[in-house]
This record gives sequence, C-alpha cells and structure tokens, in this order.
Amino acid sequence: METRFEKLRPSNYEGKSPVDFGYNCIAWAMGRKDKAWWPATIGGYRWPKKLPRQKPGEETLENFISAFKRIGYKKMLKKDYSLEKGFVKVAIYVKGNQNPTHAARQLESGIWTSKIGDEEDIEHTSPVVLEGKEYGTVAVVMKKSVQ
Amino acid sequence: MPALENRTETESWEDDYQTSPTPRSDVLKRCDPYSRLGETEKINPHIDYKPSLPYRYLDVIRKSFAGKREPLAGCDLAVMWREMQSKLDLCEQKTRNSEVLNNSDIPVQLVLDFNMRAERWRRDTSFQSSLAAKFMHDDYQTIMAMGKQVVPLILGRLQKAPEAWFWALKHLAEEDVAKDTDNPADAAKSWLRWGRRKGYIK
Repeated sequence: METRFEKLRPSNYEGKSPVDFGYNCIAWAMGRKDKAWWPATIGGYRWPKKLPRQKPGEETLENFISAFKRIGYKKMLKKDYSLEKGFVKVAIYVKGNQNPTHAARQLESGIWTSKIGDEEDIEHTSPVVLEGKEYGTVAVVMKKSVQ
Repeated sequence: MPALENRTETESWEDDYQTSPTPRSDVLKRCDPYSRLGETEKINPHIDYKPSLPYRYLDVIRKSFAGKREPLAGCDLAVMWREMQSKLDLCEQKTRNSEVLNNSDIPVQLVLDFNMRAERWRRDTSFQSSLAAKFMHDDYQTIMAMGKQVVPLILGRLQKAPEAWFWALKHLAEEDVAKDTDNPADAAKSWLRWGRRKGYIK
C-alpha cells in the first residue's frame, strides 16, 4: 500500500479489516458497510434519491457534499483535522477536475479511518497521509454533532 | 552456462539466480502489495505446464540490468520476475482449466489477453472507489472494445469476486440488469443470473 500512497508509512497507518467488496469509502465515511455509495448511473451503487446520478468522470464535489449534508454534516470553512469533542468529521478528497475520489472519517480517538477501494479498512493518523497520486488532495472537511 | 542468445525454451532462467539471497517476506510484500494470490493458491507442481511468457522477454530485462545484481529499489529483480511469471502461469493454467475455455468460440489468444488486462486493471484500481478511475482505465476500455465475446470471461471473473465489471456489462449487454441493486455483491448476483439465463455461463 505504501507504494501507492507515497505518504503512508508503517508508523502512520494500520490495516483493520479483511478485503471486502460490499461497501466503499463513501459508505464507510458515512458509517455504513452494507452498501456502496456512489452517484453512479448503473446498478450496484446507492445514492440519495433526490441527488443527481453522474457519469464516471463527471461526478462533482457539490454532489458529495450534498450527500453528507443529508446525514447531518456541515461544511467547514477551513480544513481542520483536529479532534473536536462532540463532533465527528469527514474529509472529502478530489483529483483532476475536482472529481471526488475518496472520503475518510475521524474516530472518537482523533485517528482517521478509510476504506481503501476494494481493499481493507485502515486507520491513519491524518487525512494528509492519503493525499497523493491516487486520491489527490483533501478539498473539504465536514463535521456533524454526535451529541 | 550457454550464452543467453543460445538458450532454448526448456532451460530454466532460474539457474542464474540460484545464488541470489532469498528476500525477507516483508520485502516481497513491498514488491507486490497488490497480489491476491494467497499461500494456498500456488501453482500445482503436478500439473504440466509451460512458461507462458516467451523466453526472450526475460532476456530483454536481464540484459537491461546486466551486472546489476543488487536489489533494485528494495526489490530483487529475480524475485519480482519469478513472482510475475508464477502469476501469469497460474492465470494461464486457470484459464485453460476453466469452463469458459471449453467454449470453442472464444480464441485462446483473446482469453489470455483478457486475463492479462483484467488482472492488471484489478491491480491498478483496487485501491480506488472512484468509478471514473476504474472504468476509464486503459485495460478496462480495451476489454470493453473487445465486444460481446468477452462477456463469458467477465462473468467468469464475477463468479470469483464482485469486481466492478457492471459498466462494461451494461454496455456490452445493452441493458442494466442490476439497476435495482445498491451494492456490488447484489449487482454481481443479478449479472450472473442473467448470464446463466442467456447461456454465457453454467
């Protein structure tokens, strides 16, 4: 995995689950592992009914932000990865023409968790360590109250 | 030892590397972190098979690195090659034994090309959730361009794992039989049911 994510080191991440095709990173960031969430125009993927389905390569950051808003997240003005008591945060990554590629979620401990494509879940110290050629960069951080 | 250019296909290329140190397992993982070939999935040594890659390819690589016996960027070239050769051999062996090859309508070369591209696509995109990254990959697009004759091969892969072949299947079949599903496992089941109904797979 370190060959794909140039900032990953054994010291800043840890594998936490077996390989599982049943859910993807967006589902995992939403706290679910029974579906694959993506605004796909084909079957096999779930997306909120009132939000648009988009062709591969035409997915927009706004669409993903709207999906997270529907479950209570609010967009933060700054990319603040720190732990805030009473809040859970998600970071949405984009690449190329601002096309979303990935989302990570912060755990109560302050560590972040990600489902890596079709591969396993990992826990990582910061959203930054997954930035690079695969996922691009974090574009938005959102948070919601868990109290 | 005969000169490289005088060798025959039957000579083992491993002879040159018998003295190479066996790398630690963690080094091997770094060399090929994307392999899903587990310990239980090694080639059966009792099955007779020939190396699937022409010998000349090894020679090209070997000549490129002539004299450089030190590990390359943490990887031993000989080990990398051996691993790659093993996987290609395994892939060919599985293909030869699979029921889809019994369908004489599918040329063997097409099957081999499909398997090579499908495996490379999986390796390159298994870290991605982005469907654009998966579907716009060169090998995925090339497989789609092969036309309906690869549908049985795609379904054969779906029988092993619910990989994201749904975009290709939708376009090759000109319908989306999984449109009412919301996870890859259910979508794969829908496509496999469709494939059995259509006679593409047993």
